[in-house]
Amino acid sequence: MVSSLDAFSYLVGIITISIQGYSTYWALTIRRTLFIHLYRAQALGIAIVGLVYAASELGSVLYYNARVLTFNPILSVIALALLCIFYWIDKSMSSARRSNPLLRDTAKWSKARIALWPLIVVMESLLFGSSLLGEFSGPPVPLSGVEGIILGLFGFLLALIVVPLVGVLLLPLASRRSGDATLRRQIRWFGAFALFVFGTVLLAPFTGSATATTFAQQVVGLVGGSGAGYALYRSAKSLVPLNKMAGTE
Amino acid sequence: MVSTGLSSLDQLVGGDGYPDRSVVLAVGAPGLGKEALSYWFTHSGLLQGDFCLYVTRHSVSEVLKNAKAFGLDFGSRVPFWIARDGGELKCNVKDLTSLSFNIKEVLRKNSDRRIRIVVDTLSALLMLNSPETIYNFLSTLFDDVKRYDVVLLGTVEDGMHQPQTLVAMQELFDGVVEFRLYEEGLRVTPLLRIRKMLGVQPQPGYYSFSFTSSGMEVSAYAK
Repeated sequence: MVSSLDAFSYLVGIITISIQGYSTYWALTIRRTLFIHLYRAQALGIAIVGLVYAASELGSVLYYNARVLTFNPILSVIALALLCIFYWIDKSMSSARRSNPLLRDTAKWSKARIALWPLIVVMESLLFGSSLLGEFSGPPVPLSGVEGIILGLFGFLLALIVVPLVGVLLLPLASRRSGDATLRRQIRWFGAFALFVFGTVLLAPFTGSATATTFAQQVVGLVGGSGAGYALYRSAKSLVPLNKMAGTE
Repeated sequence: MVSTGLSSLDQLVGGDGYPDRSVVLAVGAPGLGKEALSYWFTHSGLLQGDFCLYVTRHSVSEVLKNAKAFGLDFGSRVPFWIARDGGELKCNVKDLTSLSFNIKEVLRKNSDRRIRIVVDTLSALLMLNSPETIYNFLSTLFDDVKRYDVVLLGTVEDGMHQPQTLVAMQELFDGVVEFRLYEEGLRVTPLLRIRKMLGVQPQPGYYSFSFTSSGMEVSAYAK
């Protein structure tokens, strides 16, 4: 027998996954029409972020409500999302440089990225290889025990600091300097997406427990998930100027 | 007529290419491939023995790499570069006077040949200066350029400038090739149209296009 709370959770899950899927569809559709690798990669970044977000929602429903999953995928999904967001930030920084009239390389990004990518990969590897993830997911991990948890936490926190820091500080600066209105619009909507996601994550401890789902959690999930989905959809559609064909043309 | 380097586009702009002594503008959103028009135009000119001048805010290596992505290898035949790095002359988009002087000097020295000029700095110039300044700068430059046997192809980004600025820019040019993405329901279609071309009847139609290693494929678009 499915409780009313479970039914509501399924509904929230379906709505959120649908909106995120729609964002991903638009990002991929626009990607297909572009011929320059950099812009295609940027569109792919948005599509992957949408996919990961939809996967996190699906994982959450399968773990909390359907109880099909025997492990909580939330930590691994957040880690994966950080990696995807960093990929999109990287491509957007390169795109901002390309549209800058003087080709200004904000914070020497073309060199900084060479140092940051291995750092991010190491941080994520520490998390995925540590027992911190094991605490949530259950399977045996190479870095076990307290040390494993500490290493995983270290990697996770560092990635949690580095990625948003780069995104919040450098990306708006680079886009403002580029003077590209289309890029600025895309980044603004992606920023709104990030705000909805972090808002939902931050509110989670105040709306219920970590082991069971509550009605308040689901309401926050619905508002946050739909808002994030809509913002990502607008970001995807801001990748390039889209025109409507007039009826007379 | 001066071949565009793409037989499919030659057909669209009047049969044999861009009109003689004309200035043509390619407008389009970033990523749609309007730069490819510059690469093919230059490549074709080099093969025909025309003098080709490429004015770019990028470095020579970046342009060659981008051209390669469209299947074009300039090989040993290369244009005369006014570029950010690696060219014969330095391109400084902040200095309109030296840019204009350099272009005119190069034209004067090669006035006995047919000349093709590619300029990809228009968006950068519009971002760094007022539209009025650039309008006057280009008007004067085009008057001087057209005294020679020249065809100039400029590119400008859509979505980066005010619509009225783009309209004013299009007024200055003899021909305008427009690349745009059109949204129809759940589909997005990249379409091309010739907004105007000197000596050619206005063509209201849209064309779908795609790039292949051997050039560009164009077909009339039916809704």
